[in-house]
Amino acid sequence: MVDAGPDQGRIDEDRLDRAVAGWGTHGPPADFADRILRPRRSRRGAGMLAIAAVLCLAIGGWWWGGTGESAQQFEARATVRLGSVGVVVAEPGADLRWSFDRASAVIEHAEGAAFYRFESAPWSGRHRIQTPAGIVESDDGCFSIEVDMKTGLKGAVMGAALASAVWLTVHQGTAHSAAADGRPAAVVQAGQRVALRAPAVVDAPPPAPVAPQTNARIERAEPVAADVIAERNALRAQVKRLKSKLSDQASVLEHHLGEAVPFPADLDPLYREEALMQHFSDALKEMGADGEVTEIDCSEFPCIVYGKVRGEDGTDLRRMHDAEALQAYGKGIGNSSVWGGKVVKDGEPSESAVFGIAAYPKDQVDDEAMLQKRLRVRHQAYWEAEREGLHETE
Amino acid sequence: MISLTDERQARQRRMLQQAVAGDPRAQRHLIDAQAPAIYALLDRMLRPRGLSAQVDDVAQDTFVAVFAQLARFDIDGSAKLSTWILTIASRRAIDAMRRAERRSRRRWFAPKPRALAAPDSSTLGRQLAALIGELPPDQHAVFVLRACHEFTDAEIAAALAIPIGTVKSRLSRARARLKTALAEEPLHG
Repeated sequence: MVDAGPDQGRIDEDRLDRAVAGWGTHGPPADFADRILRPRRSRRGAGMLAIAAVLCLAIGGWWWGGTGESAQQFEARATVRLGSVGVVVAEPGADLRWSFDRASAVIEHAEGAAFYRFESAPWSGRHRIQTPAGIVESDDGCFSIEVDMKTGLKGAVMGAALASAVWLTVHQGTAHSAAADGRPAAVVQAGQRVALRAPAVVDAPPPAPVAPQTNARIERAEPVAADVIAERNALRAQVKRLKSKLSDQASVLEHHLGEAVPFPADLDPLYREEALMQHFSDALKEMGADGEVTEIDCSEFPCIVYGKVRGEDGTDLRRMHDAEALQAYGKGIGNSSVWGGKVVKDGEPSESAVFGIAAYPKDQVDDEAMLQKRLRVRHQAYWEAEREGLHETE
Repeated sequence: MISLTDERQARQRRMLQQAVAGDPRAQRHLIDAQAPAIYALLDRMLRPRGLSAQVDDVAQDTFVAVFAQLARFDIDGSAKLSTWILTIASRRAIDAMRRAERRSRRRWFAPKPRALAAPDSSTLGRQLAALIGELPPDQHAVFVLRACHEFTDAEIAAALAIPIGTVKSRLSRARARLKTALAEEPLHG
């Protein structure tokens, strides 16, 4: 056991002080003052512009950037995007040449291992991977191809004999293996691993001519693969059990949490985010409160206005109802859930209070019970998150 | 005889009056003088929690609030202008930190945003930046205000609207956790 004596304490203090001293920060951008002194573009406007820009880029990328070709011998694992049709993850040692357009990809997979995933789209065709032992084609799905080029004994002597073993493992969807001349050989389903074997091609003068020929056939799983398949089946059974359990628990949770109430189609804009922010901020100003609206939660109907008030103003948040700025809501606020107030710790009042006020027109609510349940759940979630800052635990 | 302090105070008073009156030159001067400290504070509070994208926004909101409330700042009072502005910034930063925590708690299983250390930090500084994001927001804020911006206990208490005793206990807990975590971290580079 190590004794952490006063020396260790000093070392720790010193280390912390040095860490603080070495903690660098970014400074303000050069145009920071300009940004504040010039009128600001609204965040919503900036957001719309950003969305429009992304859409333009995406559409432009699909139309103009949807073709390409290249080749590479990979020294480290790398991901190659084939435009919008798919993606290849090449392992170290993989030797690939690829070309693609918006509809399909053609890849020459000469050596090494790579994972392929192709996306299905209405305009996409069949994607083709040419290996030394045959062709693999797929419309969509995920699979891996491993090409193992071996120099045979004869080749070692003669310097030119090559034999290759190609393995195709389909993880999702289907793939079609075919002989080099295009004759279909097999349809390989998800979970299957097959070998595409090409016999040795001897460049040295052979005793008898051997025509280059490619055979693609499904091989029986090796003994080690049987264990893997058994484990996979056991895991699938476990996943099925867990999914069923999850589904049961989700039902219980859904009952407890209720269901989100949809926004009425013709909801008065007064009850939307922008107007709520304006009216409630005005109400706080009108009260002369040291506080602000911190969040408008419009993730579901009705929107809830959350805010924070510091100092003595926290004692009487209910007088916010009387604020002139909120009179437009009439009973739309009076009947909603309101909470907040001064929090007391160790008999002493703390100096912050938070509030959450839901505002909605009562005559547009079909299921008042469900709405109240959701309000309770949402307020509870907010309160659980905020209470840490209000109730001191010392 | 007018001391340098008196002269500086008189200059600051004039500058503040001009800024309150909307003089853009005075406002720019105030921003240029205070922005580095505000950015340093916000960077230390938000970046370790994966909220570096909010630093600019919170800094701008801080100055908007500063100009809105500047008329109420008492230049003859006990608080320095820089402390007063840092207080506004720290409150906004804590709100942003809590909002992020709340959102991550509400979005179950949502991955936490990745914290980024500033590139010019030393090795220990980078480790600290990575570790401090694991503290609760209130301990994080108290530690940064004291250790990096030299706030007194009373100033932190006023800034965060908490009793001085709470400041002390939070600071002590934050330091203890950081010391332990730094001691456990292997030293790199």
